[in-house]
Amino acid sequence: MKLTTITHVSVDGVMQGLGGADEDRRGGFERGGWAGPLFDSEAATFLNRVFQRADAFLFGRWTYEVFAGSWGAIAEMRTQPIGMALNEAPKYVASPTLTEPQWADTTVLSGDVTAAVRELKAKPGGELQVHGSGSLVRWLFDNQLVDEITLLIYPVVLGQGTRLFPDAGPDIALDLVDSRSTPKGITIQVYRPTGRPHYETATPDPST
Amino acid sequence: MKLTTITQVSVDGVMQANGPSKEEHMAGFERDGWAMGHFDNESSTFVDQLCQRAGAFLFGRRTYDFFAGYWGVMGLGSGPIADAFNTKPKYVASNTITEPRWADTTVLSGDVAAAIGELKAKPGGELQVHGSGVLTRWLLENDLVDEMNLLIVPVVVGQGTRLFPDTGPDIALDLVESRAFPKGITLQVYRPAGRPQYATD
Repeated sequence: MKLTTITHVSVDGVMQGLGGADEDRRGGFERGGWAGPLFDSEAATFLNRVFQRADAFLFGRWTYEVFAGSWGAIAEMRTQPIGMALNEAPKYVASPTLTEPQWADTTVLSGDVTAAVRELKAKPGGELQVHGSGSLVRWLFDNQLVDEITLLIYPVVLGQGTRLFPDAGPDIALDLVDSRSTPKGITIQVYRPTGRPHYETATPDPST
Repeated sequence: MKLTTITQVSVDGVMQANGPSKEEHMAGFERDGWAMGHFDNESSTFVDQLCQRAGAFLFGRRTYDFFAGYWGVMGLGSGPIADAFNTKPKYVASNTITEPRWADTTVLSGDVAAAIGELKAKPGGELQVHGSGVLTRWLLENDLVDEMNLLIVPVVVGQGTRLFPDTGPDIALDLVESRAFPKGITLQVYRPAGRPQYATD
């Protein structure tokens, strides 16, 4: 399976607390709930299709519990396209501490998570999607396990909160494979990692 | 004049040393020169035309020094960007520069906000800020930016100074233009639109 990440970020790269004020106040974050007012039907259609094409989902602990308590537990959310996709597909959660997952069809990956993820990726065809799960996504980048990165960039600068990309992390060359925007100004960029970047070491002659 | 900012950033929002940089400016940054290999004819033409439409340029001190020593030493006819920078009025926000080395430069010191407010009150044209991270962050904090052009280069740099600070103002934006260039740079043009709305539930 191809491992793809799907992340909602602000223009300043923050991914924390998109859904609501109290969703994630870690670190004193006070600007939660920034995504909803900017979400439009085109973005919803795009996101529904992304979830529907998934063959399995991989989560970090935090996002797993948020999703299990919402998409997995609330009747009117379970019947929406995203809820249906999440409830029907196998789910994996990377966690050294979780032992009895609350959501049906969940496998806990603990111990050698790299080997477990590699095994999933070695399965033929399909897509293993990672939604949210910031810590896990950063770890996947560090370990070169990501095949495709989808960013939904919301037209807002938050000025606080955890960013998707850390201050110090690996450098990654990317190919842009898709780019579009929605009526309310979300831009959707899809990138594929292609190894290490190339750095220019000499200042070019601008007249050439 | 409308104040517009033009910033090349990586996908992780880094703006430091998009081109090759001199060691004394680097402070441990080792991944300079990440942007240029991604420019193609279309994106280069876009930047050429952007510079040509400027009415004047406003710089922070470091970008001013770098541009003065790079574009400023080129003769007329060297290319659209050099000609634009060399023939239009330039302003540099600095409390330390007293004798600017680039012709047609005015130093803004003291009450910089008032000086910029005056420039913005002039009719027509575009006052462009290229690079100049410290100045751009200050302009955003002081609600002086009318339009923000982000050229997002398809690379994660993983270190270096970002355009947006870890702690800063929250700003609602309107997306007014978005396009992708053949080698994967994307352009996003935003207009600040006050404070953001947050969901309350």
